[in-house]
Amino acid sequence: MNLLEMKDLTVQYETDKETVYAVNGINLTIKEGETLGLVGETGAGKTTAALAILQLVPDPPGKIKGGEILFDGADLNRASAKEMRKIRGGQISMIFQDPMTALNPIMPVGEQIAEVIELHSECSKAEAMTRAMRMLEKVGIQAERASEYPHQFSGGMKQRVVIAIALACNPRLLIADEPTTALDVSIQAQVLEMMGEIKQELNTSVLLITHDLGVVAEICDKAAIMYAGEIVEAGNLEDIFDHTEHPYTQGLFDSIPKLDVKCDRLNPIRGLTPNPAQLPEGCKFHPRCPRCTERCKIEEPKAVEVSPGHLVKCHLCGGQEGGSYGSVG
Amino acid sequence: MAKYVIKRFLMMILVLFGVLFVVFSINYISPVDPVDVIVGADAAPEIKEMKRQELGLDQPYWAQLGNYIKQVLTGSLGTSWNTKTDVMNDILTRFPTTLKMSIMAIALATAVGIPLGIISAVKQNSLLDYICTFLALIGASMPSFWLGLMLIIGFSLNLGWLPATGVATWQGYILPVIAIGIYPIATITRTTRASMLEVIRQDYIRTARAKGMMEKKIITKHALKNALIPVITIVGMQLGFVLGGVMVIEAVFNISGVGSLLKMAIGAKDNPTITGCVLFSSFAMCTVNLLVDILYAFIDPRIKAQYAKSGKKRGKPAGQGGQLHA
Repeated sequence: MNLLEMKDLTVQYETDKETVYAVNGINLTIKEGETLGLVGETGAGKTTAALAILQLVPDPPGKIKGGEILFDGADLNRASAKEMRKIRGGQISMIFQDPMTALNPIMPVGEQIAEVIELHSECSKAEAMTRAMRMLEKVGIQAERASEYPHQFSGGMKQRVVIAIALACNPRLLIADEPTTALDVSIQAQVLEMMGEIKQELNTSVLLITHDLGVVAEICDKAAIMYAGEIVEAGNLEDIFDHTEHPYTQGLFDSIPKLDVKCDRLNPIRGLTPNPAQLPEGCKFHPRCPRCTERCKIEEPKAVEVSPGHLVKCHLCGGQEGGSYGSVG
Repeated sequence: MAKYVIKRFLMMILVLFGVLFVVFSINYISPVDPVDVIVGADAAPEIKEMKRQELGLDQPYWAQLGNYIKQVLTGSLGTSWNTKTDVMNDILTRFPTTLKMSIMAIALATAVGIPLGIISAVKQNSLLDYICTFLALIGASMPSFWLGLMLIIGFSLNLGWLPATGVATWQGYILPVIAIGIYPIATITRTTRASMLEVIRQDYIRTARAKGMMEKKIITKHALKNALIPVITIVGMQLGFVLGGVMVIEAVFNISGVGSLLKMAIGAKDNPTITGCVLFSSFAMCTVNLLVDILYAFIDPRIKAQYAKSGKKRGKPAGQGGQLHA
């Protein structure tokens, strides 16, 4: 049973001057207990897609233009404000990118955790606080520190508090938006490890947004590569890492510096991500694609299943025209 | 914290001495000879000379300043040249009226300004927001003495609802308080709106939404308290201004407060009263500022930590919790 299913989700930011096409018809599914890594460059629309799940796309200017977000079979795009409030924090919760600003600076951290518990479970203030303190211990912070304020914690510990808030009500789906990007490398590992443990314990499904393929390889079951508001390639880890099909995914792997090869310059993907207000015709990646053909410039490719569960959106892949692009070891 | 307050208090004394020095010097170099004003410009020279000696005005500047400081240090603001009464006593008998009016005006401004600012920010770019912003603009641009006169014409002369002068009854307070309060209302509305707009875009507000909180509760519990910090500064400043600046309104409504005392003293070139009133107003302003700074500490724990740090070195630096374990 799919816990979350996004069908053709489209989100746009409309201002007087321009329309930003942030998410353009993406399809994603997450099963119970599964971890999906959503990978892409900054500005690919990952965070917008995640906020859309919680119906928290800043409006104005953001608008969910179309598609469905089925959570447990019910379309969140049609849910009432009251229904959404029950889902937010209770069924689906989110860890935000920057722990430095995600906590209210003038409220003790314990209270910030207790708040979400009080909202979603029928319990007294005192009991909520006890449970909040237990959550703090679970994420590796002494319970006595519940009365302290965010400025008294380091970045890594603040992120633990954010995680404690997100997990306090045993959500069925956890959206983690670059949970480690703002942290030191050493703290990143701790936080990921802790998230993994808690996820195992509670059997939570996770949508992990990241631009770090290493993190995906470490903790995800499936991955989806996002480019210019579209999912260009999706599959399990083996599909993505060992049978890479899409030239963009390939480019991402090629741009990772290798330890065993000495090189003077890094090998990035040429060009820049397109301005989401003026996306190119045809395949969105064609101006940067090393294998671009005339067809790519005019016709938008459809997602093709090259092997079971492995979807690629490219004219050159999956027998659309000339088969596999190649694979990487 | 206590150390911080004491430090601030000592600084306040320095500020007051600065004010004393400046006001005293301005009075001294003012081209109008006080003796001319007191005994009349065409009085006999001997009478003028006698008066000059009596007031100690024949002494050099430094001696006069020294005498005045000596006097202030003993807790006296001298005797009025005009009415021969004790200046401190004059001020203290009139201050309650001024204080009452100022506090009522600021209370009104806070009670009206903060809600208007919140509504404006939460419903940004709506008709309601435009109306509030427009009213705030008008309020901020309207001279209070003019408003006072208009209020008198409207509500006292034409409608006859409220007394035009004096504060003998509570009704007497209504018009002056509105006249004084209109500018603070406008300023507080604008500050609250701006501060609120900034806060509701913060990440922690999104975190609160992601918890599934009611929008109303997000505004009151998370946004407002954060947004109030700059508003408190403005409220404090306004109270300070109002305490020292109700002179015009007191004159318009013929109310006997510190402001009208100062106005009278300036007209009579009554230097001890002028200096005394200004010193007293400065003292009131400094005290309000100090209270505001102390109030911060109760609202924002980060500021409290700073105060504590400036008082003594803390054993554990804030922000580095120290016990990171995997």
